[in-house]
Amino acid sequence: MDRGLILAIFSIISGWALILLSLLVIKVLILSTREGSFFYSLMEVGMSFLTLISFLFIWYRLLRYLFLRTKVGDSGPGGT
Amino acid sequence: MRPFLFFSYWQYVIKMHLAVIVLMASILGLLFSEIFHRRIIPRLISRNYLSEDVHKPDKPRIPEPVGPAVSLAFIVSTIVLAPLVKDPILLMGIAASSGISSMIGLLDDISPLGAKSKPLLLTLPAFVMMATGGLIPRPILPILGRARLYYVYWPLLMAMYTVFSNSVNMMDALNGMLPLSVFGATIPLIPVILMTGRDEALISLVLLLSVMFPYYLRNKYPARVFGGDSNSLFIGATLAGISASSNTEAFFSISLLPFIVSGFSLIVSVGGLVERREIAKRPVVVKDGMIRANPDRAAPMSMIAILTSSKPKREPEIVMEVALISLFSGILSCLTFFLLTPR
Repeated sequence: MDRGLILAIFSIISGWALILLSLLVIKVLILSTREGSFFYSLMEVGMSFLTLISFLFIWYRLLRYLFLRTKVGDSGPGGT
Repeated sequence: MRPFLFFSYWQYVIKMHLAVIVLMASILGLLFSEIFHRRIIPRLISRNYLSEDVHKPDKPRIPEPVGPAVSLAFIVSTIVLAPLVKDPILLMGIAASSGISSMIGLLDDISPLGAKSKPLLLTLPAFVMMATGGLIPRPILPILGRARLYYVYWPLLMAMYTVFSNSVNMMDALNGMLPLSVFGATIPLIPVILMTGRDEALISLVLLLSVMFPYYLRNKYPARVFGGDSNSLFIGATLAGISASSNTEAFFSISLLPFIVSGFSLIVSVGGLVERREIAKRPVVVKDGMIRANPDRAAPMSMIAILTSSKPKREPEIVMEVALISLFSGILSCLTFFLLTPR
């Protein structure tokens, strides 16, 4: 197993964790806001999207950083 | 009066078990796909519809696009099977929306569409699915359970069609990579769809896998045919239709993570929607049949570039790794449904 394959598997597991984490945050948001009001429902949706986008941004930056390190890094040849 | 109502008599007379219909779907899909492949490939060769296989040292010319053989087989099989299911309109809706995507892909194969107009056009199949009236805007989500998205669901459905279609399209880069990774990502989802009780979605998925099989045999390394956008966009739209009809959008998104990660990374790293032919720096470089990530720091990131970031690899090796990763994400999605989703 080489570092490229490990990075690819990491991208899948971290992407999956990102989805679950976003949903967990949404659940907390739903539980903490009042039910029944259209304004609150709209806020929930807006907050959910903001959460997802911010997590996505952090995830992409991390993946790109690791990718560049693996690609042009000087930590030895590929392979574990 | 609802169309296909005259068939309802036969539904009760025949009383076919789901397993028999699924078996019929797989046989019909294989049969029609094989027939259409045999009819279409010689015609493509005689009319000189050939494309270069850029990853081979001798750059052979391969018939393209064979996508209509796959999509036509799916549509014809659906028409045959529609009278036997509970909701024939939904089943036909999945086929019709996928057919529209295939047509858009064919248009792109013949005369390339713009990088911005293609994703916009790919929202059209979502309207067909909405028109069937068979969609319930209550997707099943991990951790949350059944959500109520009566307003947000419809724009999300349009976005899902374009995301799935484009992600699958971007994965169609190496010989046999697209069909093999779709097999890996979707086969573990069969128990998930079974649990939702939407027979139409299950039949469509089995049909999709069976029509793709003759294509895979011809597209695997070394490829004898290329599907083109008419194939990849069709497959993406069919997956979107299946997930929407069974409310398993989130689980399909998890199982298609290798596709979405690759597509998303590529789009972000080139700075927006850019046509494949217009990307200045390629994500990978090919030398003596070996593929490796472009050493240029500014080169875009894709799944193939990630896999070849530490060492160059041969085409079949990359395809097998992508298929295994897809299988892994498919199993992850299945486990998420059974272990982390309230029902």
